[in-house]
Amino acid sequence: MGNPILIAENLSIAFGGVTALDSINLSIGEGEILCLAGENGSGKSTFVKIVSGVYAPSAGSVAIDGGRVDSQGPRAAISAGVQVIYQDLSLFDHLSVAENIAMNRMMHDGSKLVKRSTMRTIAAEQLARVGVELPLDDRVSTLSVANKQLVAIARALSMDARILFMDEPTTALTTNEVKRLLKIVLELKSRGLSIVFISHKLDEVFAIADRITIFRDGHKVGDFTAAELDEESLSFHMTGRRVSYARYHRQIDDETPLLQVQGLGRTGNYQDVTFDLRNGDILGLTGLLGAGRTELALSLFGLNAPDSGRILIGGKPVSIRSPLQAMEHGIALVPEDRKTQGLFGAQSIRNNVSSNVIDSLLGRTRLIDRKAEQALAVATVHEMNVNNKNVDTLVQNLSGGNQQKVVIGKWIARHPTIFILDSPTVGIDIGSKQEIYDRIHALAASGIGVIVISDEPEEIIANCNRVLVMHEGAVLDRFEEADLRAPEFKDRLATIISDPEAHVKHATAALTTITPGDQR
Amino acid sequence: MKTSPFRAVFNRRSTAMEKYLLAIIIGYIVIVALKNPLFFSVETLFDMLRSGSGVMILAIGVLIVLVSGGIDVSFTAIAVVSGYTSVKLMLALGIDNILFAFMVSIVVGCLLGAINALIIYRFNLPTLIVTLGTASAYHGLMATVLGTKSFPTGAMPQSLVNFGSTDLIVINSDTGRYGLTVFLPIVIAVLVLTWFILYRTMLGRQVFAVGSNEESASRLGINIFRTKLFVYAYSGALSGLMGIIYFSELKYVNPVSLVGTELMIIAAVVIGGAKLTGGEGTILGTILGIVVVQLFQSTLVFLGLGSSWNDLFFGAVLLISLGVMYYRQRIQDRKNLVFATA
Amino acid sequence: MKRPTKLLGLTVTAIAATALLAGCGTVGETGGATAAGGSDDGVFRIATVSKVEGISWFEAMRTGVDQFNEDNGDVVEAWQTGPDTGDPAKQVQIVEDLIAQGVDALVVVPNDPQSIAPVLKKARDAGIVVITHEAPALAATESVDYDLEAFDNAEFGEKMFEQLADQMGGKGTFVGEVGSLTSETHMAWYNAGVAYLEANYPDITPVSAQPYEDDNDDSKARDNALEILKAYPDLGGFIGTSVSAGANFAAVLKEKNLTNIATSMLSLPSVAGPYLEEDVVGSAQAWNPAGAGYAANAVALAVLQDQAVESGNDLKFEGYDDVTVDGKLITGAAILMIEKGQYPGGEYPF
Repeated sequence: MGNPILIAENLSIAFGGVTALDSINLSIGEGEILCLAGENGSGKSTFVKIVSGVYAPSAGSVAIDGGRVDSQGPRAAISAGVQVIYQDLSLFDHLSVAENIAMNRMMHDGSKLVKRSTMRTIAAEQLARVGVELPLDDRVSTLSVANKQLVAIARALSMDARILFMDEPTTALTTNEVKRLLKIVLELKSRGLSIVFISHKLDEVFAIADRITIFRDGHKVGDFTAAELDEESLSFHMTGRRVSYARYHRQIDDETPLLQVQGLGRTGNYQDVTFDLRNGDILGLTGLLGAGRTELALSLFGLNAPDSGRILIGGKPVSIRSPLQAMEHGIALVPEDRKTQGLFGAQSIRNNVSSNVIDSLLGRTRLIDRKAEQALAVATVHEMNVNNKNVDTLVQNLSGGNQQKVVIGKWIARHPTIFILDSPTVGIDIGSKQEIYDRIHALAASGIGVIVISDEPEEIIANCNRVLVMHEGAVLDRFEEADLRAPEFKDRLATIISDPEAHVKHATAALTTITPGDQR
Repeated sequence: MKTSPFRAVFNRRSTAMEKYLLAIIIGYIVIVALKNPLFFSVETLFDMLRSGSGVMILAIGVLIVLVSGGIDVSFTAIAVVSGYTSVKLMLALGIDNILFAFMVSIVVGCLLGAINALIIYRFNLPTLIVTLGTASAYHGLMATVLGTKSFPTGAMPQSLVNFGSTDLIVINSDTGRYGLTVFLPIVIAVLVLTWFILYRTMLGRQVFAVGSNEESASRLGINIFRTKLFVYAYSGALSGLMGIIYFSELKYVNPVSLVGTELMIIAAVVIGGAKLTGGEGTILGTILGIVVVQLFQSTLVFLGLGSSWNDLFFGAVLLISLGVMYYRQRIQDRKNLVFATA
Repeated sequence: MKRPTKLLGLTVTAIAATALLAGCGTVGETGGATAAGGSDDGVFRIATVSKVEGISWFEAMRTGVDQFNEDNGDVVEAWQTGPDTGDPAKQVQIVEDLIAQGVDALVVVPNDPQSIAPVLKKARDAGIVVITHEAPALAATESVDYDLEAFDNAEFGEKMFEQLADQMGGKGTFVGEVGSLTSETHMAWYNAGVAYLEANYPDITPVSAQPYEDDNDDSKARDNALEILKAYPDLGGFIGTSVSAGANFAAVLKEKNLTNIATSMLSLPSVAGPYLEEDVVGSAQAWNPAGAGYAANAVALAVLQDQAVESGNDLKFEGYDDVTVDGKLITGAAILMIEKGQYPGGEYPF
């Protein structure tokens, strides 16, 4: 570690009597990559907000190069060289790439007028520092998420950043994009920039972090080197308990397929996907972002019409053109983005739960039976163990894990026969994760077919009895329960997921030996 | 690659909406000219420039508010209240000077706009609700304090009447005298100034930024209040300017007119490509939107149609153009697997 | 979301309260001061409700009402009130308030005769005498005791067109512009006038089967005027039945320095006067709102005093000295020709 440039001493802050950070001591060296790990609510973002001047600490101090920056407001932190790239990137979609990058700097310089050439020069310089080229005059809204990320980095660098905080920067990136980003981060480090990387993806963390600092419940658990940790110990430090997920085993003795997908394809999304789903199956659909898994799930739910192949339910070919039709066939989908697609945030838990089954709650007068609605909502929060049992609570006020429980509970209330869950535990703390897994297992055991989409090997191993690996829209490989039970399978799967290209050759050979629907 | 003349002037590509509007305008002009060749004259052009001036100025105010992510329905009330206050003051003080008229009206408009901004920011209320309220309040206050007595040509300040009749170029033909209105340079000045502010100053870019994403803008350190204060005060000042032009053009001061036409003007700006969700809108689009409205309004006699046709034309263009625009967006969204538009 | 909702509620309440206060202020200001006293002392309380307060037309009407109050001070307490905007609902509200105050008679100039009819009926049921003005359609209903019109609509239309025909020398084309094709009085004038031309001046023809509309909007009337002059370069004359139509046509004629087009229009002395002086406008007609206010109050008093209301009655105001009564419809002969040189000092009554 080089000379420490940021030193936080005894940093504490409380909100309404609740301690959010308790005596944190932390230092960041010049040209160091520090990874900040911790569950939701552990205090990571609070820490970032104090350092960036948004919150003033109740005790302790933050100094950069010996000068205090806490309690001085965001401007002071920015002047001292603190830059934060938030998860939502905070870009202006309607403005050009050049403007997004240069605006911050020009504001800081106190420019009153905007000169296109100056703006372009600043932007080009910063993009050169990041080592990429982007069309300067294009609107940011037309860029991919990865390129937006680069714009955000370039903007941060334009402010002569010395410490760059990056909050979950890789969540929405594909493998190659992640690789490029990590390479850029390492290059920035080599030029003396300190980077604080907030991520829950362990492979990334281990790949670039010089040091890993773990927060739990507002305390710092400790500093570790990548070599000192593995997945298990990291999650132990983060949660304070040993978590091992119970694995799922299918115990139903019925081979009749519930759902058959045969040669399904949609140009540009995925092609020639074939699989069967039986009662009691939990089928894992894995592969990286952009592999075509979400697109496939949306097709099964009537939102992304396929243009080849067919879908059979109960042995009969069906056409699913809308979510309503999908629901009539007993299909339920828990979408990837629960906030915008899965919930009505400004509505109560009760209204969210009943929204899916409103037709069955109609009384004789064709009005909603309020008692039945209340009873259903209460039953759901208990069944799903939502921490807030008051069904009048607005869903947006719940934590991510509890929101997801409401989404799942809402679909269970419809008694689906085919349940698709897209990335069901993204951004959810480990405790809730376990409860959600238990629910999924129970549902499958009760005889319905479940499809879990995930890029976390651990999640796949814990839940699934069959796995389909997708890559660039095609099924790359498939595994049955016997494969999954093999020791070291998790590592094997992780390797395939994170580096599918290497597997392609081997898989192509393997696939030719499998006929569609082959049960092996 | 060859640079189109458009690109050379505006330094950007024309939007699909602008091309579409231009096509509508040209098509409509051809139809009217075929139906009634008398339409196709310099006099028509000059007359339309005069009648469209006031509305154009209001539309620019609407544009800047829409870009900032708000919606203002009080601008017609502000125009009438500022203009009327100015006229009353001139009559009371016996000052009959057009510059004084503009000065008072613009200052009053600016103040009323600033009050809008203050309420919107301080109470964090939806702009539509606030301006709906202030529109009534401003007009009611004027009616209570100043009354609503109208002043015909003979009774109103003569400087306004003279100003309204001033022409830059006068042409005498056998169908009478006509001319290029003195309003035109004012409108051009407003367009150029607004363009400069929006595209060449940090303040203008901040207006776009705030309209694009207010949260991100404040994280960047943009002073949201100052930006909004500017937006609404500027829009108010433009309304004040328009109030005097309006009374001068009609040569009749009637404080219970104009209010009620605001939605038509907002619709024209929206046709021009400004989005109600903020961050988007162009000056050229706004000009085209107003041209469409003005064209429909002042060709019915040529076509021999009743005034209800105006509403029909306008409604059809509004629905079709926005329908096309949002349908294309929807197709695009579907490709990106987005199923709801915010 | 709790907080904004609450704030919103507060704001709406505040705005509503402000509006209410503003409304009360106007009503109180114009009606309250003179509303004191009761009818027990043998004085009849007669309230006149205008379409809208503050505009010159109804300010002029007020002078008639005030004069009537002065002339009959021993038996009558008469005053005028009205809404601050031409909103039919506000007018209904004011009539409701006056019923509650127990006035003896109401003189109403309805913004919308149809919508105010039920509340007028209610007033009559409460024993209040109801006289309307500019609402001949109500004369056939139970909502009024009498409706007073300044003149016969057909006669007014004929007079208007006669003036036009005179100026045009008996031949040529003309354009007509009305407030709205659904406006009862405007169309009555226009249709009677066209029939008159057909019978007496067959060489004068309208350019279009229907007159143009201006929706009583100044901007629209102005746009129409500009267009009409371009679309009909050989135009001989113009008839305007709305004040906006005439005033804006005149303004455009003046701008274009055109004096060869004959014009006859409904107008006000203050609007048409200057144009008449400059020979931009050929002829303008009106009726005196002060007379209508005075005469309508006189009818109300006659009914209250159980005097007969019949043809030949003298309502003691110029143009109303020999009225015609047909059922509940009283018609005067109060056409006011606005003429050049009539107001040399530029002091117009309305």
